[in-house]
Amino acid sequence: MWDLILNPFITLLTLLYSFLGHNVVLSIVVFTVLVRLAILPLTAQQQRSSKRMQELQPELKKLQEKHKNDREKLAQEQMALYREHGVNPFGGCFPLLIQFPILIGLYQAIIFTLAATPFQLLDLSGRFLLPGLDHLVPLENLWLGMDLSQPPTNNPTWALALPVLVLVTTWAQSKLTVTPTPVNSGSDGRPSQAQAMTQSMTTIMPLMFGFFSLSFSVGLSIYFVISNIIGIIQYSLMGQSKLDLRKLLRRGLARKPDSQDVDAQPPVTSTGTGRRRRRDAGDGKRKVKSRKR
Amino acid sequence: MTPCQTLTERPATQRSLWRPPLLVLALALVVAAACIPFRQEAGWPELSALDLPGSIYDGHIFLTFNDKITLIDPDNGQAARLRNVDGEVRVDAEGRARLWEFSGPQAAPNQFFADPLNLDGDNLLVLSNGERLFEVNLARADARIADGLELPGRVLAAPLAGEDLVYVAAERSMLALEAGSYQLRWDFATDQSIWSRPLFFNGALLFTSLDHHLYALDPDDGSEIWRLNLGGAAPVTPVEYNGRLYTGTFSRKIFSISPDGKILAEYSTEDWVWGAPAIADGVLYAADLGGNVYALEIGESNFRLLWQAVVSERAIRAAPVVSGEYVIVAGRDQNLYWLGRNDGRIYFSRELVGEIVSDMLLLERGPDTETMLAVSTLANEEALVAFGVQNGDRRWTYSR
Repeated sequence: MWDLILNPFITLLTLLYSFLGHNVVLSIVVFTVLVRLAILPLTAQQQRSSKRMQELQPELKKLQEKHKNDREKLAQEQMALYREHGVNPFGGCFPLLIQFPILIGLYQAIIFTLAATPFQLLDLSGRFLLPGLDHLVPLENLWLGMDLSQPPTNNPTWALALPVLVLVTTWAQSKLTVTPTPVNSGSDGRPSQAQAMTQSMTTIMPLMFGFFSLSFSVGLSIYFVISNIIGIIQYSLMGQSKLDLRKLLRRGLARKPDSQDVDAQPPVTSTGTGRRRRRDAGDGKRKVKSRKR
Repeated sequence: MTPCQTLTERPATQRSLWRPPLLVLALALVVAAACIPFRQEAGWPELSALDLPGSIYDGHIFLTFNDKITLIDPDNGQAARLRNVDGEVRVDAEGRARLWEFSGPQAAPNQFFADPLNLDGDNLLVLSNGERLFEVNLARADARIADGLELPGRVLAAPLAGEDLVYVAAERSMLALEAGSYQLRWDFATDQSIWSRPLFFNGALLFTSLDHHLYALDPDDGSEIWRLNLGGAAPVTPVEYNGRLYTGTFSRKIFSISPDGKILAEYSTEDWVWGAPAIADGVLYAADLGGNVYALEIGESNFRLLWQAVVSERAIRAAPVVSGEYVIVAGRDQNLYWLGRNDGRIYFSRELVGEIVSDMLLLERGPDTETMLAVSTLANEEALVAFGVQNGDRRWTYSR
């Protein structure tokens, strides 16, 4: 079953390797771009769904306040609101779930194709769907003095820059792609689950991937970096906004507003675009600072 | 990755069910599990018999795999006990019998996938995938230099001893080291790794490389005599028969090669050929990674197919073994198959617990002793199993 995804990917990557002058890094770059382009409709649908849900947040918040002691009623009202606006609350999840095995297949294909040990090469056998690719095996896995099939710790010192790049680009992508959840929160004044989740995602995921990259092969780290950069560009374009790294850094480094401050913010109304949402979030932070002064 | 929006509007009373950091951690574990389905071992167990007449360990089997090398007694399938020169069993501080095992320094664990080389009857040359070389005393099972000597690359192939040199394949280089001092005499670089043990043939040092070539070098100075492009990765040592060389490659071909490096005959197979062929009575038996077995009559300038059989549902990596009327093959489908040499029919088979990837070993211990077939699997409970070669009866099992 898994081979249905993996084998075409391995074949495609090896085919690219044969067309691109036996440059495995270039092949990984083009391969990643192609796969990300192929799943672009899914990504776009997920983004649109997230946006619609975002637009409903103020009204959902009102419903929560109104029916905070009646869970059943709250659920009914929420569903009615979704129906009224033609929003599927799972609309953002299904595309994500479909993408997940594709993305996993993508970087497993890279590991298989970079086969550097007898076992890995043995597992590569029989996976090419096109004839005539056998003579390319094994792929050349030396690049800039690094063995792409080995982790950074088994490579020259400069290879340690890759986990750092993975961490930075994953963090940057998380900041751009994780939809800022509006204001807060529950009746207890604490950050909502969505906010907590978002904060955890944007903190843990980059650290996790950075840490994994220390033990993964360098080839995979290159894939992670390329994939993150593509994700950043893609989401920037989808938000019809130019990527503003300064704003991104400000958002990342700025202190998180406490719950009282957040409560004081106006509820986010229909945001329309990603740029508008980010501007709203930025405005919120400025207000927090002015109150402190 | 964007979290699903449906999580954002759970009522406050349900929040205790959701611990976002834990959720993210769980997600991280899923991703990690998906990312790392790969084996930690680079290679598979290697088997070799110690040919040392007069020694108490003569005929014993070296099982080389992963973190250690173990010597197995072929009579009972037990780990051999370490004995002193008088044949007495050595004991540890608590009075227990010590076993013959070598695993290198505790502080820097090594992985071993290459057969040890018997240097002089007293010492073995042991190479690790951790880029170390050890000279191990056979009587004590310890290294002359505890931390070993550093090599310029990982080693997966067994070394070869010359008159005053030992030849070591360290990743993409063939090294000639002076015996005893292990100083580098010369090295020869290839474009890809060398996974096959070198051999002497017609006065030359021969070895294959994953860069598709079969190389012939002058063993004294490492100068190239000839090289032959085989069209695909060549991971195995060629077999010598009647003055010619025979090998298979990932180009899905089996070759007959002249002593001066010319292809005399070739035969196309269904899949990659990794295991070395077995040759008997002018017939070459080979298996491929598609699970096919071939019997080819060797001609002057061609191969003639006698029979071809689809035998295993999974790859056959191990080299076939010919004994009596049978050709025996082992598959990754965990089965051993006894095929008729004349017709390729499966006469009987034996199922094991783990995948069989390693080359098998015939244990011929004299005219009055039954010949056994030693088979190593990837399952710890059947790390090494011995069968009667003619009837397939299980003789003993060694568990790791």
